[in-house]
Amino acid sequence: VTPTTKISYAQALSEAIRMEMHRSPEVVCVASDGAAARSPITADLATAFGSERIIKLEANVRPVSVAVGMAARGMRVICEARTAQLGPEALAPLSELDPGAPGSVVLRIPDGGPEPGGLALSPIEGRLLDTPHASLVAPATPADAKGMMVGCIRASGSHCVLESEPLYASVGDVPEGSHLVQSGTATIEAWGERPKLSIVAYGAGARLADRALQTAGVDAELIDLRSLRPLDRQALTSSIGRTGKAVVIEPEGSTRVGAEVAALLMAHAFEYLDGPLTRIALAPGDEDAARLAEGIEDLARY
Amino acid sequence: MQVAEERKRGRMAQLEGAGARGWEALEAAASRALREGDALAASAEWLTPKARGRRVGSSCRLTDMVAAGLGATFGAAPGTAVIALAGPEWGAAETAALATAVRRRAPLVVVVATPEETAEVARTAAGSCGAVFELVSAAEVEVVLLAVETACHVARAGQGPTLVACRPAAPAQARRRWEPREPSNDPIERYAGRLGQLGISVAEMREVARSAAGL
Repeated sequence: VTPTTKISYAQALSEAIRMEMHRSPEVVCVASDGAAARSPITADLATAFGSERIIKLEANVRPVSVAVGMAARGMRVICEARTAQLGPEALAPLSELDPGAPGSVVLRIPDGGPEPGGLALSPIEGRLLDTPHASLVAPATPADAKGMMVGCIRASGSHCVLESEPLYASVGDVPEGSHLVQSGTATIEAWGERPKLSIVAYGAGARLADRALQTAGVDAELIDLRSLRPLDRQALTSSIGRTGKAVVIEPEGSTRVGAEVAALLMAHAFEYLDGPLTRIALAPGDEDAARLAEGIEDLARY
Repeated sequence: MQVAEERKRGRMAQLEGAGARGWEALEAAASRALREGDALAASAEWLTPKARGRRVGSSCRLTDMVAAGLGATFGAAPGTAVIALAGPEWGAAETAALATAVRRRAPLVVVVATPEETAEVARTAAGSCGAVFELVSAAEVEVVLLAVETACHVARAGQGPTLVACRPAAPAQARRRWEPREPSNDPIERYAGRLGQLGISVAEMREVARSAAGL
């Protein structure tokens, strides 16, 4: 049994980066100066690894473009950018990284919901899903935060890690030492003996659904997607095969995740469905598990 | 693609690829200046036979060349340089990336193809961050080559970045059809001869330019 420690989501991310930077001298962090100064994840790494490996860029320099250039020369670059910095033009270079390039880019995106500014009004998930080639993960627990960050750093190509800022302080058991989670794998947690509803969620939505199920009194399966691209088709179809109904929980406004899940289920699990595919949109900052529980109960009665 | 659009509008009849904009000298210079271990941040608009397989980026769509080139300098071995070929759109992001390169004394050579009217923007940008600035004309192929090779030499010596701004060979209003005023001193013919001396096939260059223009 792997020993675990109780640490926060933010500490788990920081530990993963620190561990991989110790493991390989090719791993470096890049962020604009302001973002690096504010980040609770990498702030204390600068003293340990120095400015040559924790690289701060001037405000107007696009960190993704710099990271792609570095990766093309063999470095494994962990790049941090806020959602408001990631317009289509800023994201475009990410898809340019040759899959055969010696290095890789992991784009860390702290996401606390909509931010001031036009670009931030469209959910970041949609923009990232429009970026070809890059995988996209959204861990919901400290253990997944560590495991998925490590998995992305060690993989080749370009990867996006959507970090949920509201979860930074949440605490959970995290395996000590090397802990790796491959992208493309979801987890399924069963509530009750006869689940009759599959609840599909990710990030903070998965944690809120977990709390809602504690009060809803509904037998259900909670699918934490963890990976938004690629989606875990096997987990989704097998769960719907057992329950016959599905609801996707996502932030208010179309993040495209619900649409992608629906398209996948209509193509591969249509014969299992006993009810409509539905979506529950969470308002920004909504942490009202009781309201979500009501929605889940309504759907379970369909 | 810009060339195709220009052609549709009838402004680029019988002209081909990057040469139609008078910037083929940049291609030749960057291609000639590359040494073992160097890298090139450029889009397919700037394809050169010698530069194939050495670009940062996997297709023709890489944007933000100055920042990508800056990134490539972080992994550069001592004594090597990175050439970034940038288009005429020079903005705050490019200036900031160049300033970072100056601060780090990065071995970066930024070659920007700039029309006459925006050359001063590039000059101001270089001046504001203390980068070495060279303004050359694509009509003088050998001057461009000398400027880029010198900039690469400076970069490899660890003396920081240079911004080489290159004006097109022909002014904008003369782009309808290239007709040299002095046929005996036609820079295209001189360039073709130069390529021949370097062992580069003119036919292959033309094919690459046609391919880049989607023809």
